[in-house]
Amino acid sequence: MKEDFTGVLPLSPAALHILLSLAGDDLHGYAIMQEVTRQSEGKYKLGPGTLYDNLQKMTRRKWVQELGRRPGDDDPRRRYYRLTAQGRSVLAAEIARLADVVHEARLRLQTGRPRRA
Amino acid sequence: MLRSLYRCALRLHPRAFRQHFGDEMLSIFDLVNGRLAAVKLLMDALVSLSRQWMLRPEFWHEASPAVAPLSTSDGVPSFYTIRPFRPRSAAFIHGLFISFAVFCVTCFAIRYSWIHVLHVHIPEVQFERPSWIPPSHTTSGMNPSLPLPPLAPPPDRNRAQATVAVTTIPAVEQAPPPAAIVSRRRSARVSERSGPAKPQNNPQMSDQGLRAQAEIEPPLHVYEGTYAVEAPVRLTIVITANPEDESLRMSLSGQPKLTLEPLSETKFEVQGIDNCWIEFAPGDSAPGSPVRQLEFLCNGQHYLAYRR
Repeated sequence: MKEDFTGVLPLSPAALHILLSLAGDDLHGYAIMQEVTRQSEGKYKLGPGTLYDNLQKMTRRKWVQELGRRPGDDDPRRRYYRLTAQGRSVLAAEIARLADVVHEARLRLQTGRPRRA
Repeated sequence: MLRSLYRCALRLHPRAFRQHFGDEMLSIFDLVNGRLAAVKLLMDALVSLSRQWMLRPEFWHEASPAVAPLSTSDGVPSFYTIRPFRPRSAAFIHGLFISFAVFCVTCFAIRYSWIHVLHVHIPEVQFERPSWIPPSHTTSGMNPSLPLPPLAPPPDRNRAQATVAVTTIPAVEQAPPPAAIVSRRRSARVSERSGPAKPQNNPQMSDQGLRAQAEIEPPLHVYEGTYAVEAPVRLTIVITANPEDESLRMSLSGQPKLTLEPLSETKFEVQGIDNCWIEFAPGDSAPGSPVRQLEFLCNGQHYLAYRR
């Protein structure tokens, strides 16, 4: 049975980038910020306040799971976060929505192109 | 400096958010290089602060989510214990100094603030001028028909303290000022009328007592002046001071000068006329200011005169 995420979509740019960053690997907060900067090629920078505000909401919605500290890490204050299956579903639904938007946009742009007589 | 401000901004966040993410946010702040980046993080923290308090009330009292135990490579979960917290010794010392400073400031504010909430009464010694000399010192040897002034109210506590303070002046002192000598003569004259050898026999009326009395007696120039009686007859009374024997003299219009003998601080007997007295009304202004009015009593007649 397919879950309905229409109530939470569309995602904010910050939430989309955070979920996208965690889709590949478990990351701590600073690594998430760096990954977001890399994905957007430096066009979107996430601050710690926005990052942890979104992580707080995602943890409550069980989109993200907090793993805690890793013993071998350089900074013992870092906590790692993992994308849950539900979070992955939300991300997939958002990507699908965005794909539809892109597809529709392309159609509109093609039909809107001035035709030569 | 910026790090302290950043920590302060983190401390102002809601408790649940601060406990959960505060250390991580501070670790990110420690990783950035450059003053501009630190300022940006500080601005971000301030925005986050307002956002958490205004838009996230549902997270204010939320407990930290359960952390899934991490599995190490050997498959054994790792556990963490909370270390026992004990403040540093320097923190104890700083707290001691701050508490003492706050205590001192509070005491100072209670003592000197113009809002006396606690009504802390601290007695002060005040020297007051006696309004009259007791009848036992002045009426002996006088005309028994002389009306006596009303008894003064019993001295209050402050006045009693002032008396004690005056009588305990050490005997070794410098010479009294001229004004004190003048007043001593007047006091001696009063004592002569009231009874013989009082200052010698009474240790309390010794030189110290006279000096104390001299400090509270007004100078003679406050009585000098011209006083006019308007009713029932028009009369002019001129009061002058004789600097030679430090006495007062009066003259009625067209009459020779008559000497005034002090009966008390404000009451004088007119020499040469029977049953005549002059009583000066003490002024209501500052001590040492001229007397404004007097009462002239002669042969049962009462005249009220005002200074011109």
